Amino acid sequence: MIQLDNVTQHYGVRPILIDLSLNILENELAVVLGPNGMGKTTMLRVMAGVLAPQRGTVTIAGHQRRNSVEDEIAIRSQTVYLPDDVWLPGTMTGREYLLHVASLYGVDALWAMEHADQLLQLFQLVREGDWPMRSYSSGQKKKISLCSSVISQAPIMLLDEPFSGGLDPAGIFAFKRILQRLIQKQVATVVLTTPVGELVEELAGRVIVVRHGRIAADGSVAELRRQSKAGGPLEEVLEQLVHPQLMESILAYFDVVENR
Amino acid sequence: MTRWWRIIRPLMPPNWLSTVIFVSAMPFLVVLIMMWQEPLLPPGRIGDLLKVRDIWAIILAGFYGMWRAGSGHPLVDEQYRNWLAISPWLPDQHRLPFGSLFLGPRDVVVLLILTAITAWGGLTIYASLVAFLVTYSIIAAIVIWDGGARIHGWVILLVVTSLPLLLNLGHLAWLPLLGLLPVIYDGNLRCLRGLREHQWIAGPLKERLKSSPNPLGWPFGSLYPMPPVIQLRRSARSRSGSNSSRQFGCWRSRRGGPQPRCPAWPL
Repeated sequence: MIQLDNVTQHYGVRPILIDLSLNILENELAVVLGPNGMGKTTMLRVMAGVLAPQRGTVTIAGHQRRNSVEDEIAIRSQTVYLPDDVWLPGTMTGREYLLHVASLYGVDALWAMEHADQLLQLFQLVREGDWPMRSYSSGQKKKISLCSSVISQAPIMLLDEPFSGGLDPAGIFAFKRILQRLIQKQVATVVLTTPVGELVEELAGRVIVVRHGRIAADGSVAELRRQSKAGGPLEEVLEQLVHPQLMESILAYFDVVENR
Repeated sequence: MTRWWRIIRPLMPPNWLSTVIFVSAMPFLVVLIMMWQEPLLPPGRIGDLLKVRDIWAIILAGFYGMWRAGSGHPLVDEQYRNWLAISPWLPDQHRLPFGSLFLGPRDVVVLLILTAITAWGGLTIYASLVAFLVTYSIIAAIVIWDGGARIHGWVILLVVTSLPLLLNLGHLAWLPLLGLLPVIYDGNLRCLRGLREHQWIAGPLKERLKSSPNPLGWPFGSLYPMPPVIQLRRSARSRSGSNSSRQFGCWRSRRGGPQPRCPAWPL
């Protein structure tokens, strides 16, 4: 469904993604994990077509990204990309914004109104839904942007850190359930990034760990546990895979501090 | 009624009602404030008040023209443009999601109100209209020129700057400005259509131009990885045009003369 072939992306002379190849299957929920600055967001931006990789190709649903106008339009009509800092038109109300997004993706107008009502209720934005978005808190902005990704009904969702940015526990819980249901019903392929493994442990069908622009590990949570030989929470597994020396560093730190 | 309102309201431009109320109320507000300060006006001062009111109306019409030409334009608002670039928006199939660029009924309402204000015992009834058209045309020309419709931009600027020469036409001097509206419409349309094909080329090209020629500084500049050359499928006509220009370039280079060292970029 989403295929990256030998993608290389630099910022200046600093390589962010190095010869990265990946294939994400249809109706799969893939979580890209990794510490800050390791290339998660860049990978998603390359998938979303925001960045043109210096080398390599991205193919989505059989169409190559940035190959031709027709291919690009075909990809965009079935892909929704939610950046971490999504732009929202401040003068527009949340409800209006959702309806405009739905109309762009060709969703039936009456159904979109009904769906928007339901989403605003689910994310506790019933009252705020009719306020201009410039009056929203960062958490409310995050919620409305998550709602916009859902109301688009796009079969491919690229979500950059959807659980960060001030989202409250109720919002995290609700959005996780929505993603789970979309995957269960086999109506969406989801790629999301997060630096925190616990948030998505119950959700992830596949975990891709990125380290220094390369894929450090790729598989289900159980497979990663086997690979890392760590039996604890996903956080521990992740640290074993990304920073194998971290535990030793922590022990060394306490050793120095407590024996001072 | 509720269902009707829910369908209609999202189609309306944002804050249109408040814009109309604000624009129409301000000149009257000024007059009221001045009358409140000096209730027993001598007959000669009423003319002064009317002048103040007219100047207010003209200024507001000018600002409204500027706002109308630049506000909500994807070429002006980079974030809006980037948002459109990752959505399935197509200029020929979708309206701009956050309001139309083209003049419509609400603009007619605003201008009628401003014209009515200046018409009563004040300046000529065209004053507000001219102020609106001048500022609207200038901002639109800059935006359209920047968006790639250079000829449209030049034509608009030419007509606007030659306006003082047309003053001997009297009240008809504003007619050429009205004639610009179809040019602005077509220019905006071309710019929006241009976004369809170049919206994702614009990013790397802009970065490349900004960073050119040596973004990292000596001695690392030569290490800077340049954005890839994007090959777009072209129609047979444009391909033959491109070949002709290449042949002309070869012929020109064989004849000698300076050869520009510019990177190949298939635009």
